[in-house]
Amino acid sequence: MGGIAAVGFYLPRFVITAGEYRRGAGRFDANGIEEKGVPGFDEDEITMAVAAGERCLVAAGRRSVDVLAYATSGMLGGGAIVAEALGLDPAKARDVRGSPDAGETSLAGAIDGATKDRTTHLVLATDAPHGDPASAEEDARGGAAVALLVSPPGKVLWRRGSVPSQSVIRHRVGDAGAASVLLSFLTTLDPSDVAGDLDVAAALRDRSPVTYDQYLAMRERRMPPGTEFSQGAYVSLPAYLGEKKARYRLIGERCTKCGRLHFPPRETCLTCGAQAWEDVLLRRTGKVYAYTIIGKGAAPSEFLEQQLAVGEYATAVVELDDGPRVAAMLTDVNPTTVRIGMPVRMVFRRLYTQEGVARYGFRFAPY
Amino acid sequence: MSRDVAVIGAGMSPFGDLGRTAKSLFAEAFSEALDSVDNGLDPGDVKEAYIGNMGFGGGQIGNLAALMTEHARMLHIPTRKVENACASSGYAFRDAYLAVKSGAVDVALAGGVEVMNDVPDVRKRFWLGVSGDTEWERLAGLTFPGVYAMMAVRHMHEFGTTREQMAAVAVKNHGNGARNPKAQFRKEITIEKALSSAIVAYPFTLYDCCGTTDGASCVILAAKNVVRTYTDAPVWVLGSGAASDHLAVHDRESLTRLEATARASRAAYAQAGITANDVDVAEVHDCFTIAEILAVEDLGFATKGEGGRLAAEGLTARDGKIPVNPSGGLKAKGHPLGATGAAQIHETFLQLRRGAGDRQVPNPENALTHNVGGSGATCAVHILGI
Repeated sequence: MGGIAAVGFYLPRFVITAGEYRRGAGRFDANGIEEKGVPGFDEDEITMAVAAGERCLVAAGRRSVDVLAYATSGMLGGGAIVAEALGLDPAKARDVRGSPDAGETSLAGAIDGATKDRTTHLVLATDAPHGDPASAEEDARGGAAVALLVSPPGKVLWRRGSVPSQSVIRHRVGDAGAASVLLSFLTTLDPSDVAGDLDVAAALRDRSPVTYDQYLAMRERRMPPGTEFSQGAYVSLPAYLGEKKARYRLIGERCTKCGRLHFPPRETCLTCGAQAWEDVLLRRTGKVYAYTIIGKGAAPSEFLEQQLAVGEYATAVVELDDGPRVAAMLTDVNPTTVRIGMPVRMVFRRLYTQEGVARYGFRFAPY
Repeated sequence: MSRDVAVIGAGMSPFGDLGRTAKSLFAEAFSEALDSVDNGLDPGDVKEAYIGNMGFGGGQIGNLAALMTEHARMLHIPTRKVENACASSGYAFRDAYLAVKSGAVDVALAGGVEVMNDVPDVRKRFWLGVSGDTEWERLAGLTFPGVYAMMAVRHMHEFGTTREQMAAVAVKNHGNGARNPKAQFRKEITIEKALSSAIVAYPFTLYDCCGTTDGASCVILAAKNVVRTYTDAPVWVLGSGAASDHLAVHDRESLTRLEATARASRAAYAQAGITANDVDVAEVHDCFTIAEILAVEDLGFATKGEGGRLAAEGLTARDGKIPVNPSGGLKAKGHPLGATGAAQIHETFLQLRRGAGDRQVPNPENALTHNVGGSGATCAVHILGI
């Protein structure tokens, strides 16, 4: 019988209260919601799904699945990108979109598949506010993601309607669309039955409140009039995606001739000049080697939108615990608290959007 | 065939926010260079031209050199643009030097030009920082000041260098710039003012950074066998060194040493047969205050870590032990990217011929120029003497 073997979830670190929202928006048309989760400027459905998926796969001790189901209430898919960020085969990803019960549908399908075909499924249900902030439809919407690994020997089953709709999740996360019901379901599970972190209450306590203005800023994605990209420096999409393994997963290259480890990737070995490599999944931890804080108005065009929305940011040269150094923006941190030697960990985030395509990759956050 | 080479003429346009075209600035710099040749020189005597230019703002990116030489009375000359970011005309000078030294031509021109202030601000900022590594550094949100700011943070961490010491570099160079009629910024500043202006990239304030500048520079080089036709006071090129490094700073072993500077200067000193102690005046690449501190260390004027103290204690002042940037440097004279390297040669040409007016340093015999591309991916060092 197929069932749920492991779980993971991700709640964004920001939260807005109903009172603050009402004060700022002049309305809060969302019954039963006391506060709701707010994805940061560099987060979206895809990055939250990756974060939840990582936790679930680690808990399950797995590096591959037969099917990845990406479920969201929005119209944009993301399963292939999430699969690549998780090191899974993007050809095994499918999107279930456009409906708030996309998560439940996907989970039911996964259990069915695991039972009949003895296949392993990763179900990722993820949602973020994606409407018009001026509309009352926005009021209830919160962000969250949940991941469930369904496999043939899984113990826990899922039945539609087994979770009360007015749960703590709705009160404190908001209406997280496809993720809501499955996140509520998580709170009903017994730790002895599934692998993975179930302590939603602790994650809820860990969040930082934001004002309505900050909420709007993190939702805002608009370049000022007259902004033009790519005048003096340009990284084309093919060039960007050519380094996808490094950008999404921090995969370095080891020279097969002399053994030297390189990151970011390069064309020839610095030590011996060979051009033959094997991939190395680097540890995601490191320390700040050098840093600076980029003041308002001084960002490269790719990050102007972010800076206008959320202000100055810290960027650094990070020395990875495996040795190589790399330049990376820091996130989830007050820039003025950054110091040389600060331990940081890689997170997968949305970096910027160009030519209508969101570019994803690594940033580093304190841990 | 290898011959001695001298600089026989040098000129530059004013540096600043000028509202003029590149061809107008270049023509002015060339005219001044011609006028500086003591016995006169026919533009037709120049047989090769090397024009440094980064291409800031777009404009005439392709075939710029032909446009410059055409408007400077050198129609039909073999010409080309040389691009190595902020080190473009340091390398243009090296190329012209090698052309003359090799025996290919007797007289060559090295120049540079950049117009940075003719674009609206919203467009201008997209051209800043295009000479760093775009695929990794830039996509980490780093800017050009940001990369040097990280070097400053490391220098502060490793050697205890202070923001006050960095500000002392700015104060000195603005003081020198105030005496240079062609400088962009001609006002003295105080440590307090430098420290209290707006933060651009921690730990840099506005005064740790050079401005955006329009300007052009030209230098005329001649082989020893023809030098006396043109002047009795040539400035000899005693050494030319150049080197490169990883483009991205994270690939470099150290953030507090520019390997390209160290290697380029080692080659130049070796060729000239002198050491850092023999240099009487230096024009170094101070695009940021920390850059001058790194330069005086990597060029051998100070031991590593002591560069900040050099400026703070006045050792790099005009009357100091080793005067650095008497022109005002990139900080105060201005930094029209492609024009900077040849403008440094222009300053040492004046200094060595005792023609630097109010900013003349006492009796220099050997001078050094140090021109860096971007955050240190390229560097050209020259030693000149009389």
